[in-house]
Amino acid sequence: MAKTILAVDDSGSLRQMVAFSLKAAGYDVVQAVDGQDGLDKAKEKTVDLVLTDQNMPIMDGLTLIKNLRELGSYQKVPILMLTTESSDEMKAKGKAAGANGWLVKPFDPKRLIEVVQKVIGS
Amino acid sequence: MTIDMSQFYEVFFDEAEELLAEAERLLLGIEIEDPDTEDLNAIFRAAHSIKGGAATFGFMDMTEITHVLENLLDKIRKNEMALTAEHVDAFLAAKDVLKMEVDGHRLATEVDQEQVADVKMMLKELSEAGGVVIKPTPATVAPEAPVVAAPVIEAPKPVAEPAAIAAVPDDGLTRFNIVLPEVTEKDMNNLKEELGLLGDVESSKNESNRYVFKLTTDSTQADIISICSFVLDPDDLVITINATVTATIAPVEAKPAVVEDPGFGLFEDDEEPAAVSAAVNPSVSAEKDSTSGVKIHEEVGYGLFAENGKENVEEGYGFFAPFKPHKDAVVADLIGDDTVTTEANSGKAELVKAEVATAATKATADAAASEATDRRNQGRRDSDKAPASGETSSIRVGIEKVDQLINLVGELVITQAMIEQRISQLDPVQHEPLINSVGQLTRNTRDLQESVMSIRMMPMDFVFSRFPRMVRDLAAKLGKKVEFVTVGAATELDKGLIERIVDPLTHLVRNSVDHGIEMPAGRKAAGKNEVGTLTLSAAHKGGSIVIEVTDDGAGLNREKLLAKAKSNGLTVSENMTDTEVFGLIFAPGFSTAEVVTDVSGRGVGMDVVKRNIAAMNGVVEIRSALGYGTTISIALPLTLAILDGMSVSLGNSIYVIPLNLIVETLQPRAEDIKTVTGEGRMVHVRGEYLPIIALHSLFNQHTDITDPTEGVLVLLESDGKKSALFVDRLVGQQQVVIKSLETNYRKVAGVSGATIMGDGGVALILDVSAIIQMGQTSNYLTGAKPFSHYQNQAIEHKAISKEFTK
Repeated sequence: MAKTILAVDDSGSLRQMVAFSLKAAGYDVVQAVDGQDGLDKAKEKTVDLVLTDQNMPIMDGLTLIKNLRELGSYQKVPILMLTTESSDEMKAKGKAAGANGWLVKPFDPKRLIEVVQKVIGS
Repeated sequence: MTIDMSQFYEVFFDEAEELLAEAERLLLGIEIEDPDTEDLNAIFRAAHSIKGGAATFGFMDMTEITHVLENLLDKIRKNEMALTAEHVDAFLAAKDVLKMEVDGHRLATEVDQEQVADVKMMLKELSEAGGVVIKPTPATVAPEAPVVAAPVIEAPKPVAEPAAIAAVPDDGLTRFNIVLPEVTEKDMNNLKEELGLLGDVESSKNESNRYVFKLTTDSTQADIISICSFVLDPDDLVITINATVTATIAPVEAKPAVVEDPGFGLFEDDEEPAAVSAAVNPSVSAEKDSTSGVKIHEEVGYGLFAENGKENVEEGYGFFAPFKPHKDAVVADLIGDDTVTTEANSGKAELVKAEVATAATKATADAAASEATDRRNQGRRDSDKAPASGETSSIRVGIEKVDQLINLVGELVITQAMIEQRISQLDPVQHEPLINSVGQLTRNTRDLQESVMSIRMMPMDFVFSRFPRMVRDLAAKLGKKVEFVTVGAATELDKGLIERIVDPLTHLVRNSVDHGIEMPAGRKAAGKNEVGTLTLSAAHKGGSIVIEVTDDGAGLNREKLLAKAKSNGLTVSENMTDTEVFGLIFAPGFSTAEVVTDVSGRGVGMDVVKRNIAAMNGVVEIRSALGYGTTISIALPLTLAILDGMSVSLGNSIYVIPLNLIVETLQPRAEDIKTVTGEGRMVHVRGEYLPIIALHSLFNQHTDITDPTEGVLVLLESDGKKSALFVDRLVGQQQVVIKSLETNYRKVAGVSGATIMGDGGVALILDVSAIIQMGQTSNYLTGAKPFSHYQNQAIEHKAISKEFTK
């Protein structure tokens, strides 16, 4: 069965690009428009990987990650941050919040798939 | 697998436009003294999102400007710099430039590069002006004062690019060495050109025959990576900051060479920093023995990880110790290596026992604060969320598809009306089942028509949203204070009308700011609030939508208008009603502005406004009270495609009169008809004398009924003028589907369109305001030869019928 990935980004174009690319690579994709939406969708169905933007309205990516890690079902689900900010500080914050890794924007779809495959296999 | 990115362009453009509009709206509402943090965050996010998208989809011009914009906004939202009016102006200018760039990419419209450069310069200057206040000037830090430099790095305020900022020498620029992998000369040149946009770039070749750029810029490594990633794999890129500069300025980060991460990474167990470096920089680690991991780390500039060991012990979980606010962070579960695959053969991105601190209830001070803000604003933001989440459940279709659908439904409505008419001639008892079925068909058709029409409906906000900015700029230019209020922005109107109402409304709003609202001093003197109010409202009233532009300004001066009209050679009288007098401003070439200002008073006049609105079957009305303000009210039909009409007969023809323009209908008595010398026949209705326009004369149609007492008078009102239209008889009231004459035939005076009636015959829809005009200007009324000018109307109308029944 295809693995499911939750893609959280308030930017529709990026989210669609991510979703499209991942679907093309054979994954199922659930989309969410902000951290809160992401959290709600994550609760509906436990996914195999979470990809989240950081800067979003209502709930940002770090908060989403923290909230996810508080859920029993998400303690071991890999979470990657897709962010334009690649400073060490951001990475440290991401790690502190519970992220497993990061991917700097802009990225091309090929790279995204490559990274996702490394984390959860194809 | 290749993925065509261009398929996301449209979405990105739409999104960028929405974000820009939203940012503009917020900017216009912002209080400079005490800006709302959440508003600033939202504006920042807009810039940030556009930047992310633009970079992803390769619109580098937009990335550049959003980058500087974002930097400046970031400083302001973090309170490192106070917001000024200058900032807001610059942000608005940046919004305009970005919009221009979006249009440039999307519609291939011209982009004024000079303007782009100006705005970029302005933003940079503003950004730097404030930066001095925050950062200790490098001169005081470097080179012998490393202790002073440290706080810059460890400041609790998140600094976006610690390494880069620390490395900023006294000219505010960073010198990067960029070693490229093997690339073609063409790629190299492209890249050089792109990087040249960031700053000075020199290229050379190193000993291994690789191209090396020396780039002096105020941009960050991330920017460089962004640009390079379009041409090559950033993994293969080695970027270093010129060591001689960094070493003196930034002792904390004083690794001689800083290699940027490859654009992604997976967090490792902190006890195995070697793996981390393997993950973050395969090109370096590949050459090194893994046991020298720690050292590699330092070399590549990931000092953060190298320091972990010590900090860990002291604070239980000090992995993030260099970041003081994390002290309270608690350790939570680890992700075991069972959940993550380890690909030992991979040169990069190995995920080894990714240790994860979760449940960090108190993460950084900033994160906690922003979280609190988020929660506080959550309720407020929920409404904003609705359209965004609705996005996935909507589809985009071309407008031509919708129009085709509307046309087809129009045809269906006509066919259905035909069937209904045929059915009405059948014996109801004998054909009861058929009649019932047709009744059902009628209802279904009406529902279908309504649903299809609603597809084209758009909220008035599409029009209203452009005005806050315009009013602000205008008011600033004129030195006036204006508060702009919109009411009923959610009211829906047909897309075609929405597009056509923009110009007239723009004109009216301009007029209100320019001529309506007084200067602050004048308002004060008149005992009014210095700040004028301009209200733009939209509401449904009956089958129409009423759009009103209201100002609390000086109001229209009846006497002045009359005097001006007289001097313009218009016929006026003291007995004219206020509505009639105010209607004078719609006369061509009429302007009451004493001075023709820069803003209005030139270009299209009110007569054009009226004509545009009349062309939409709309009606304009003015209400005004001297000293208290003016309201200009526009009533429009909900849609251009369907008209509520009254059909009237004239000889063998049927004409349709828009119902919203009919005041009443009556059969006059002989004593009510008067012939006034020089003015033709008049009818006396409740104390008013109205001119009678005989439609048969006007259109030169043959009819047996030539005496008004034998026929029907339809009292029409348009532009504040009333007339009585004399027709044979009323046929009935019905909705008709409008067929454009312009597209199907050509424009005909006195006729605004045609429709196909239930019996299959063609009926012409009267252009009421033109008919009133024709009735007045024609010498028919003065007793001269009737309507010689319109002799050909009857023939023309036949030609139209023929055209439509083909």
